[in-house]
Amino acid sequence: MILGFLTDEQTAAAIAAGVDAAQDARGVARYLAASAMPVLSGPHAGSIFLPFDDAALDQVMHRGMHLGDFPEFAQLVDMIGGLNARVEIDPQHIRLPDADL
Amino acid sequence: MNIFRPPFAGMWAPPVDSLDADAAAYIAAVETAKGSAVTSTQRDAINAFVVGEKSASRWDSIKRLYLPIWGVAAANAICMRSLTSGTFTVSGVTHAAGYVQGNGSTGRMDLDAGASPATAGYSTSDCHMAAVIYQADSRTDSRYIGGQALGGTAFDIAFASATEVRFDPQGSNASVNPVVAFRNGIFVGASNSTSYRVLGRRGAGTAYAEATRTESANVAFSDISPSMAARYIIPSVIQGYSDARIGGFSIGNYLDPSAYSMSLKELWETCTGLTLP
Repeated sequence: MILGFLTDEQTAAAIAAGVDAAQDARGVARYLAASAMPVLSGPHAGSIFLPFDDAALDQVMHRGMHLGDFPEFAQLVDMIGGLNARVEIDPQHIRLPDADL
Repeated sequence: MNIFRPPFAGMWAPPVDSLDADAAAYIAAVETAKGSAVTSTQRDAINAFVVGEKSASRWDSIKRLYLPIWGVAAANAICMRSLTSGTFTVSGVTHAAGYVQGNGSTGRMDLDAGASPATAGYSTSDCHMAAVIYQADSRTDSRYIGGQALGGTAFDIAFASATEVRFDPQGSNASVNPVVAFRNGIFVGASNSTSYRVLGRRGAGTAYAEATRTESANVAFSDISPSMAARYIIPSVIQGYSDARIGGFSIGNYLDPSAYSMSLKELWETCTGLTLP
């Protein structure tokens, strides 16, 4: 199971733009991006899934800083309901079949 | 960093150490992104690698080279060759000492737009893709070490089965692409014509194995940039996420798999203190 937010395309796009803007504002290359994944099957089919597990909070992103150290992080997470709004989904519901192999 | 010895008897002494300009630029970029210095061992290893690749006339064949060993996303995303940045997914990638590891479901790095075939200058008949695999994917179904695909064409290195890795430098006809019976080590897939494709694998010590295919295969790459730890198709539709531990990744023009894999081995092992399995 993987943890993340369920949302719609418009909100996902806004989150992605916010992540880009946070990097642009600091004059750094865009080394991070929010990954919006269509839910292809299961009870949440049709939604957009933004993966965000607890391990992401432990990664050092830039110059010793974790995601929680960036002011924009709290604002973006609040847009999609806060960390407690996350759900777990089965990864098979977001996996594209590998027809070529 | 140049250290000048004090002058004596009217003579200026030469610098006791100096770095290749490209090596120095990459090191500076990594140190800025990390917020701390690399070690002297890492500095010397990176310099030796760059100098060696230039001496062997392989440096210009490398279009993108990532050494994601720094434990910091921003540093791991920096290309040693171009100083451009790849883009990691916010979630799903562990940035460890010596490698990055995707979660096998949602974590990957997308190469920049300039890494596409037409812009970077590589093609089906003149290409390479290489990866340092410290630990293979934990699953036995098809997973991608890296690559791209669209409309029946492909450019990737894949865990093809429970025992094999395959290099795909053309269309989806996998039967004409070289396969080696290993899942960890340093893999270098390369093609220098429409009738020659090679996949080399370097392991511990001097272990090296190679497979070639010479059937005619000339399906041009789609002009999209590849990803690492997955195969990029189009935004939001990505295939075969891998949870392998990846210590290096490069793409570009044809180069000799045996020699290049040895250089990568020395670079990665010296910088990380780890040993290839």
